[in-house]
Amino acid sequence: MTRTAGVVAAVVCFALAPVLLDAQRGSGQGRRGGGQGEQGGTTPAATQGAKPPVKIAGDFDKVKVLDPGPPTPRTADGHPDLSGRYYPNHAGRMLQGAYRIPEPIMRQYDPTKTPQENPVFRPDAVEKYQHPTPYGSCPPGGTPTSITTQATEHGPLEIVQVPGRVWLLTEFPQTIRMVPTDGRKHSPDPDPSFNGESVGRWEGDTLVIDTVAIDTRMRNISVGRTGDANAWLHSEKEHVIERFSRPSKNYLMYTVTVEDPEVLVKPFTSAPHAWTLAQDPNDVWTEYVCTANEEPDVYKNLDQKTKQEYERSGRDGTAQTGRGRQ
Amino acid sequence: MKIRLAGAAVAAGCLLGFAGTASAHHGFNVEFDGTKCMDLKGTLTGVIWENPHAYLQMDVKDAAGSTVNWRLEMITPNALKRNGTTRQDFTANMGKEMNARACPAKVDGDSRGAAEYIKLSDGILRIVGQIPERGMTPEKLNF
Repeated sequence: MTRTAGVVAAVVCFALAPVLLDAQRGSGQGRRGGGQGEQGGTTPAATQGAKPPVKIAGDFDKVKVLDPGPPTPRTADGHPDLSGRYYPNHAGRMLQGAYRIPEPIMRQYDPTKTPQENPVFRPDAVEKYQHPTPYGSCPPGGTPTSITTQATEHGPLEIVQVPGRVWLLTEFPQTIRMVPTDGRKHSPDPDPSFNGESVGRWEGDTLVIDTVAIDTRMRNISVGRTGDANAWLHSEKEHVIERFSRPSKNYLMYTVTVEDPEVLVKPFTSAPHAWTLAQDPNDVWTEYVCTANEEPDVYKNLDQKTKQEYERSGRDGTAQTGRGRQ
Repeated sequence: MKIRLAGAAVAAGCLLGFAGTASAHHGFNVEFDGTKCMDLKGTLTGVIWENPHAYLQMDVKDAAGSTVNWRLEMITPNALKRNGTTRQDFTANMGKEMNARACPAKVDGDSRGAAEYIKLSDGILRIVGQIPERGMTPEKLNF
């Protein structure tokens, strides 16, 4: 019922948009801003009304909740075939948080149906482990961040499933994870790495990926509250369990559990997050190597108060959460 | 009744506009001042298509009549491209008039900022950044 209502409201929202645009134009409202550019010219036409609605790039007015599509595709051995490129929303395409896309389309889960608790940190771990991502840096994502951080990055996750292994690829942070699904167990003493050592197994129609030995410099971003400023570090005891399923062709469901007795009072488990299959056949992979980066220098020149506010914002709960989940 | 309530809520959302993170590489407020956003009108002089952010450059005349070259940050090329704004769109409109709604940087804020909306000479409104201004919906723009 709520979902239906949301969709109805979304349709109303889009239907009203041109009307609102025209109404605003015709009302002859005064100019805002007063910026330096105003001397560069005037816009008398803006107050004369009867202008056609402004075309906005991106076809956001066509965005809708993607239907489930055909049944779950399966591989020759009978398991679900998870292969495909997915976006972290209900639209089957990359969205942009700034556009006014209704939450039933934008979000990955409905908090009224599947509420998600935030991680509960041990009081003695807060100071050591709750630190935002250094401003302007482009660290590797690590596990599970390369997937969870898409809550605010909005980028694609591509899964390539072949016999005996599954590849998990994300555009940014540019990440390649190879997960064996041939029945092997974890190594007795795995080397620490950014993505950790993963092994996968099927539990019915759910692929369960178990990961240990994740480099302790990697942060958990959007594991719980979304956004870089709410990031948290982990100990060597961290254990990540991810569950993937594909209830129909167009939908991938993802749930992550993080255990870390040194940092968390109890294991954290996310709500099931929906990802939708990319619908545009021309939607190609984009290179996103984050190196041309002037921001660390910008950060150096900022005042100390701003820096301190940023550093503590995740711990005191004042950091904003990004759009895409609630 | 539920439908009406939800409809009203979303309609209110339409009117207020949803501020939100757009492929956020960083927190907006650390680097930019979302309370001093302004209109810029001038000429498109450049585009820098790189990660983690694309930038546009535009010449704008200041109050004294001098030309200031502004550098405006946008979101990532991958998000711009998938949301209808390509490098080629900038190339095609280079040297021509454009409008921007932008928020100044906290450092060098007289010529550096983050763009919310732009309109190049092709007349298409483009959302190219985060919208820190609460309620700054497309219909409220002056261009």
